[in-house]
Amino acid sequence: MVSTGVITAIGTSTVACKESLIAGRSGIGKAKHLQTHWKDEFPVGEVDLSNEELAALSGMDAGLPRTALLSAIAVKEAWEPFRAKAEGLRTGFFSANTVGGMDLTEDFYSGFHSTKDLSSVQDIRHHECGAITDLVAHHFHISGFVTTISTACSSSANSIMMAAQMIENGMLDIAIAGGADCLSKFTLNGFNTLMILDRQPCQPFDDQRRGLNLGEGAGYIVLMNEKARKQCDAEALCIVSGYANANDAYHQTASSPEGIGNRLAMSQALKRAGLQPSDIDYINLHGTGTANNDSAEGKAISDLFSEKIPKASSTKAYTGHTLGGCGGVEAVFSIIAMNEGLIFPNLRWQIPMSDLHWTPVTTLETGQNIRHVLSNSFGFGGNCSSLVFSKTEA
Amino acid sequence: MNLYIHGTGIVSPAGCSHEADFLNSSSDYNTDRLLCKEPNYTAYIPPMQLRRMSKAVRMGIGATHICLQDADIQKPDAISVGTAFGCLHDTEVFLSKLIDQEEQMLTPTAFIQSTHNTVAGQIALLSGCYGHNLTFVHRGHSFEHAMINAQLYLDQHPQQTMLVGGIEELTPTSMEVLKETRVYRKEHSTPDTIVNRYAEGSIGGEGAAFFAISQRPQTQGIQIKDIDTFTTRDTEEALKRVEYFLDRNILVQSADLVLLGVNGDHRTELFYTTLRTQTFKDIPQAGFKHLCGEYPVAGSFALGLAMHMFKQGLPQSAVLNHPPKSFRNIVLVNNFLHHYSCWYLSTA
Repeated sequence: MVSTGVITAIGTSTVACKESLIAGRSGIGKAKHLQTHWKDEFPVGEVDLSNEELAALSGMDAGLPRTALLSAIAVKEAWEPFRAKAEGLRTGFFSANTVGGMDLTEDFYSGFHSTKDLSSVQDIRHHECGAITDLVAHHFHISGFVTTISTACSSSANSIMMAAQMIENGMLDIAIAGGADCLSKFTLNGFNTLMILDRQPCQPFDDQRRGLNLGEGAGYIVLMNEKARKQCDAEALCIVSGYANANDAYHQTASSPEGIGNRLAMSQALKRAGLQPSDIDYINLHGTGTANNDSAEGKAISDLFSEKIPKASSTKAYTGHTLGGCGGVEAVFSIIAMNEGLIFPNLRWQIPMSDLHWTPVTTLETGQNIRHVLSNSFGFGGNCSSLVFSKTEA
Repeated sequence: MNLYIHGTGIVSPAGCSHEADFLNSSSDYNTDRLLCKEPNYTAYIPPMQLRRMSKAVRMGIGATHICLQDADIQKPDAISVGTAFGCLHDTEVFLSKLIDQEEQMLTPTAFIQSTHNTVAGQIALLSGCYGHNLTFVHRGHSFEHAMINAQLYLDQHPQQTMLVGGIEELTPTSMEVLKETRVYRKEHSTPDTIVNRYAEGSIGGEGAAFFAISQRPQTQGIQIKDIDTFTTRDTEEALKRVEYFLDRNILVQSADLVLLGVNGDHRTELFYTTLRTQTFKDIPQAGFKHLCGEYPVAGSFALGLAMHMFKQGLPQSAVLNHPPKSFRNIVLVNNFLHHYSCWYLSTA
């Protein structure tokens, strides 16, 4: 893993996000750019830039879906340093999202729905999740293996998993992997029907937690094999040492009380990395702030790590839940934590969960020796994924 | 690649793969869209659940059921699904209510079922499969990438069996939009106008096709030996990529059959005409999109057709030039818009 790129409500680059994480600066607030009936009711983690401003940063057209613009900004940060040096290498792009071009589809459909008006049909041409990936791949002239995964909130953890597998198997020299999602009326209203949105800034892993805040953003990492790393003169920041994907097979939108899928994903990722639970120094929790997720994830961690629970925190109180982007965003945060020896606080935490014997880290810890990080991403459809990042010398 | 197909389940406009008339009923039509002939699901989906399921979900569950029966297994160890458009019906239901009701008094069912991984999640839920579970949503490569993922997964879990499928539902709105953008023809088509004449666009299609895949050799079935996917807007480049694919796999003369995604769209005329009259000139050729329609994961139907052929021969309705004498080496070349794929299948 040689570089990162990220954009969220707390910053438009890895460095900007790192500064906010250290300062304890949350990005949760009232929506300014998302036009919705609910903007005074539900705070969100919005990137405070208009589509025109995002377009200027990414070099793409402002008329494209917002998810594509966010994606391109994070890819640009991660990939730009090596782009010119990668001549002749097999480069793949593994992206993920859940909303596709839904922001523009909403515009198209409001006209079409009432009058069958097809005149703005061009608005819907990037509706597909895969269209977002193709727009970004095209923008950066990536012509090797290009794919899109959509497994709800675990989407971009899975794209990183597949990218790592294809590098290991010798099918590619370089992989840019992660994902993106923008806020949309569709997802905000969808999560509202499930009654899992918090009307206040969320409090993951707190006994009084009320739900999640939706967020938007993108996060990508660049993976290289040794050949590519030499040719691109790239320094390894860490390695993707383990990954696993399991299914909870319990409910379409809820986790099993005991977190069966969560535990399977974590234990299999450790096995793949050849590590014991006691080797993990930090867990970046999925930690959405919903009663159900935090309880199931907490229980699975208690069971797997028993008495020696690693230091753990959720960064969703900073960014909101970026859905298809969160696996990529939190991979970047995990790598910052490891390389800077930092454990970010689980913001706004107050009261220990009554059903859990451990608590998250709530103040910034510095000077930590973090050799292995576990990053969790769990989602609808029972999709559970865990990634393990390890120091190169670990 | 070393993937073996141990079972097949197809729900398609040409019928279901476990029924006697699959691919045998008359394929005469004059229409703009080919819709699935769905099976009777009541034997394995409880009626309450069935009522709430969109067509995409129930077709996926149905094809899975047929596939697992065909493979004689209770549940797969892992699941890999491809769908470019996802659950369009439920997406539209939720979107239209959101607009009509101005974001108020909405109910969750359609939203829950609108996510792209709904089908894969429901299969896991109904079969109690805790294993690896992925959904690929990459346009005309969605199914092919689900199969490439199976290779990656099974390399690490060589004793397991994975369920790999492709699914796409056609809705009245997607039909209208895809006609307006000329993916589908505005006018009606007959099988002959898809196979032998070119016009602007193709015929609407949909379907679900699932396969039980493992690395355990299967003497009575098909092995997937190679898949390549590529994207280009240049027909010459596409033809070159097909040549590369053939060069690395097989002498063209030793191919027993080539399955072609001929779709009647004039934008693919040069591509498929060159393949038919030059690249594969004397090789037996079959088409499939005049049987299942055009949709992003139609390659999954073609793979199902290959499995069917292996057991019962090639239906006359699929033959483009002359019938094959054997089915040892099969090449499949397909496209959906600018997304192309090549498969090399073998029964050796």
